[in-house]
Amino acid sequence: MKDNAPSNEERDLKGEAPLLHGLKNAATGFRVPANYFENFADQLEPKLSADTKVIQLFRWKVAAVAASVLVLLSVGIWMLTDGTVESTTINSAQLWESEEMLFATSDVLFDEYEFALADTDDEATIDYLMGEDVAIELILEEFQP
Amino acid sequence: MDDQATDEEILHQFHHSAKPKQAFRLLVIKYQERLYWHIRRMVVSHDDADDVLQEVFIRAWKALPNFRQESGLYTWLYRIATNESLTHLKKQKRHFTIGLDEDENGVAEQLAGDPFFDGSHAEALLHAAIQTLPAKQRVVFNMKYFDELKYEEIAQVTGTSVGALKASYFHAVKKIEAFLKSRLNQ
Repeated sequence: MKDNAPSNEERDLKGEAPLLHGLKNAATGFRVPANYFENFADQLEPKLSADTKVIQLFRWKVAAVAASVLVLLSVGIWMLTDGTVESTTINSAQLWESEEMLFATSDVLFDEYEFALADTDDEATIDYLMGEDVAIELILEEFQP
Repeated sequence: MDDQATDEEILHQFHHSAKPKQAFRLLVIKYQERLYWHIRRMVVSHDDADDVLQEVFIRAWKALPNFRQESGLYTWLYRIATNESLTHLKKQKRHFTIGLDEDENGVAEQLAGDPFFDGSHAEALLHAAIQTLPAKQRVVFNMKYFDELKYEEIAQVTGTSVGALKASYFHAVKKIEAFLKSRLNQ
């Protein structure tokens, strides 16, 4: 039960942000269609059943398709190789190229991040990091004076 | 409200009766409104809020058999709703998130064209200001400012420490106040 005296938090809000405090108890302006909440449970119910059936059907279909693909692949490989399968080798040059491409990609990415952060202040950087799902504890650790 | 079933009664009926759907219906009726407004303030449009709310209850329906009551039912649902809202916002990031340096026209236009918004200019500006916050900060701000949850309750939903939540909330308050001041004093 709320008592009528303003809490410390309300006093803080009034002091720090009078405009925001003034809007605190105003309506949000959002409305819903007529009888939306009265009908919501009825409209949801068939979707609960449908969702379960779709998943079961989907799993059964996936299993059937996977089994068919396996059979076709086995028959195909057996026919192409006349019953024998040669192992393939990857030469070291190919591996080296792949590795170089990997490093090149990370360099490019790193450059892009540096470029993006070059002209931003701390507040914008904090917003960006929060938007990228970086834990707020880590952000505070980095940016608190 | 007093005639609504308690969480314990709902869960007992869900697990032990032959008609779990009836128990789930009680849960939907009990929490639909609070979850809807939580989602609506995050995603703004009614149609999106409706989609997300349905998804929340579909997920809850699938996961309820494994719900271990380590948190309250409402906290658990709130967490699903928050995650679903964030996922939705992530999908639509480019459409709904505006930078602080950009003007609020995108959100203002969206609200002006929304048949389910009839707020004042100041209320529209408040929503536009909230949309400038990073999604997770928006969650914290909405839970504190509109839902008046305690930091400890928000911490249970978001899995963030109380100290970090306080810092995040006051950072949001300062940004929104600055936004409102610049637009309302023009």
